[in-house]
Amino acid sequence: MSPLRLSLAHLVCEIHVTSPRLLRRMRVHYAAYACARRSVDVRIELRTRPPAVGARIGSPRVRPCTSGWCVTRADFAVAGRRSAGRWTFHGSLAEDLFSLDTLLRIVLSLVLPTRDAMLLHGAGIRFHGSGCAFLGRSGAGKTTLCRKAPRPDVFNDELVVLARDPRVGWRLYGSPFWGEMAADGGRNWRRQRLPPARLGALFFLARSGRPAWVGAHGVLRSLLHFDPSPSSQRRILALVAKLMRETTSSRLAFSLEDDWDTISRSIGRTLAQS
Amino acid sequence: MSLPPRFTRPAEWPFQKIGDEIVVVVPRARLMHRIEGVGVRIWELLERPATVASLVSALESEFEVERETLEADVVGFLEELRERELLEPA
Repeated sequence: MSPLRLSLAHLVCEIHVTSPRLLRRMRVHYAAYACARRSVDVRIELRTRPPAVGARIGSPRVRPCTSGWCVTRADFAVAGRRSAGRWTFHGSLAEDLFSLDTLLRIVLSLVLPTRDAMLLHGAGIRFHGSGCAFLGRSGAGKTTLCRKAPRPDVFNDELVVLARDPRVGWRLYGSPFWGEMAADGGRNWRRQRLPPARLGALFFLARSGRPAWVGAHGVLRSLLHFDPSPSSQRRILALVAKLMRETTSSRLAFSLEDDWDTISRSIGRTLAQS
Repeated sequence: MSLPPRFTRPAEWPFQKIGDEIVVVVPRARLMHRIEGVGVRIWELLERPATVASLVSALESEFEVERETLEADVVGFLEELRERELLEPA
């Protein structure tokens, strides 16, 4: 069986699974992110096993181990290591798309910081050619904002990648990990994939009368990052410091009644400063 | 519990100055702490073993505050650091 190759941010991930059924489902689910590039950055080899019905899944555990990490949860167990500039993860996985999706998020959260990039809880929207990232806690309004925005300009309503390229600066990428919007209005949003855009500005969402997480604190609280090792935390902190130094950021508050024209005026004012 | 006579910041916790604040991460506890204002300067001074008196003397020349007020603020901040496991005996 030929593996599935995905272009996730600036990485190419090649995923091998032993189950033809799961592979077929993966090809449909991640179709928008499939790619044919030969150079692979992350190789994931998974021996599939029947899903445990009714079993408690629990939380994932990530432990640093020799040259990499061990990632475990009831429905998967993999070990990842870096060799010759490429990451390889081997292990087992319950034959379930949900399990694979979770594992993929964790793998990306571990590997991306080693390539000057981060996976963040945030919505991504294209605005006059620039990418805008809207970070916020659950309920902050990420999906609500995306539903108000012109649909062809939505990168994602749940998880986005910010990557630093020393030549062109920060770039915003969408991801195949959609939130509530995934099956909105009878449309499969998973088919939508925007090309990466230069990051125009970073916004911290404030809604529901709760204070917004802002600044470096806001970025760190929005970060999907499972590696508990001090060296990894140092790398992340340095990356966030660069992001805050090199990007315009602002708090963005809006109400359910506000239309996109009203919201976009606030966005435009911040972008004008960048 | 009183402060140790000499203390320093723990060397193992990653931290970063970001803008006007310092973010310190305690990976073991999955906690993140923010240090702002005069605390940023105290954190910098804690790179080397210090005492309350040495910190107050260093800050006295940088901030226009009465020594008694400064000392109370420094002690309060150090106790806060100790509660968060961000201070250890030197």
